[in-house]
Amino acid sequence: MNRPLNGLLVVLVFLGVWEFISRVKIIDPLLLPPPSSVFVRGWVLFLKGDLLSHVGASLFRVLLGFVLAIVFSLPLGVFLGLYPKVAQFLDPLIQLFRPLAPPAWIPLAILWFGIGDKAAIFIIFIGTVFSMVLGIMGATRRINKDLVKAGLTLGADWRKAVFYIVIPSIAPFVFTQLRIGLALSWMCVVASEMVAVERGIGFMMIEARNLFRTQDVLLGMAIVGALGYGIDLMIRHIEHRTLRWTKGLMVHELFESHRTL
Amino acid sequence: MSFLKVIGLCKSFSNQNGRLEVLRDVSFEVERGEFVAIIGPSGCGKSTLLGLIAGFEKPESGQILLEGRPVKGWGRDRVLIFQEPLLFPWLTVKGNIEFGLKVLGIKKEERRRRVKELIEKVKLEGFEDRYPHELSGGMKQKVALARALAVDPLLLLMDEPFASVDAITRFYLQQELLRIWKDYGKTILFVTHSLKEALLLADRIVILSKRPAQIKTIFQAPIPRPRENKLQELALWESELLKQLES
Repeated sequence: MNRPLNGLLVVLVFLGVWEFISRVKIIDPLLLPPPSSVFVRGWVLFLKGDLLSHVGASLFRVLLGFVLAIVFSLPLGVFLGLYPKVAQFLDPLIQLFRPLAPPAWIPLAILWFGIGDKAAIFIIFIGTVFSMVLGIMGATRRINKDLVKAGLTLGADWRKAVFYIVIPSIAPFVFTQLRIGLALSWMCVVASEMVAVERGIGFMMIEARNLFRTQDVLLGMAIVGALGYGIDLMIRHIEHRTLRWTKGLMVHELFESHRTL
Repeated sequence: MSFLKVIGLCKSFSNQNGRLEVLRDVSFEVERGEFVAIIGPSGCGKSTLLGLIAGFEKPESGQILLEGRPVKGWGRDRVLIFQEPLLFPWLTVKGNIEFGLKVLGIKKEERRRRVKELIEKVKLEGFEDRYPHELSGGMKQKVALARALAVDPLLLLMDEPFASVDAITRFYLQQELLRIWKDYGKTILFVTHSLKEALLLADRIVILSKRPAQIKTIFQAPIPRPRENKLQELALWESELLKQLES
């Protein structure tokens, strides 16, 4: 069976059911407009140019905030994984900050950066960085020590051991971490745009709610979902190409071969 | 002056159950180009001895001299080959063999040439682009050997490298190791728990006692090379030595 087509089918069925529920007024279309009208509304806003400017603003913030978080957390996570004493020393600090949900940072972000891109990017960064650092640190601590030993005996110094052995070892985990981090970034951007900026998908949605334009609210949700999915597909594509060597090492292959026996 | 000199090596580990003495005053010498087997009961400290020479452990007292210079930390002049092949799973056969050359910063053409030569040497033509998990245990160990030879070490330290392959594969690997040893003239220190393997491969055999390991005896391998087709003689010597060791 063709998997992309299957996926499309699931989405189409979902939209069909939604359309039906709304059209026969099982739920008031004012509260749940049918997807077709959301799509039409999206087209209208697109032609007006508003939509692209909102989407562009959100996308810019997500990508920048997320890339900053990666650039910061990858080296720090690896470092803390290799130096558990430093990690232990910093742990109380990390644990104090970690439970603060990204929206809890919004007031401070606005005080510091004012209304605008910087505040939103800060929220994304702060909302993703702790989980990424902890995840990458954990992955680094659990790599196969003997592989590093093999590399060292072949003449690698510490720096090369990190680049040629530690990083490839944690790569499969880093990709998972990236996908989780990206989803978190979208959550953060929408939340922050609802208060801290005057453009972006979140702003569009909160404004639409104030004017009781349910279509626009749903449109915003659909766009976040679609963009998140799209970028996730891109990461998965890169993952697939980078981690080609894991083919033949994954446990699901065992179950699959068992089923065909 | 000897090529490798191990002088009065002592080592113990401490854990919650107290102190565990592993090596007690171990001394021996190895000449350049020699193939020396180290043999002893399992858990006696053979691997610890190799780890000390490789530089991954520090001796409590005693000294290790390679070409007259004291050994400090690990280095590619003493490459360790483990019981598990420990290939890098994200690199192909070619990539694994190339690893040491790459970290050394050797140019691409030169690397390619060396890798090609080594692949022919260990007879892995046609498997260059396979990943480790696509290889058999014996092939993996051959890649590990080629990967070690690539960095041109002074000393090959082999820690029961053929212990986890089947008897037939082991026989072939032993033949190939001997061939490579002859071709490259490397000095090999080979830990094994099999007396037969030691008798087949080595010039000299170091026998360690059970823990704490002390040197029981060192002797010249009694059977002249080539020995591959002298299986009966090997078996006779094996039982003879076993008798001697028990007494």
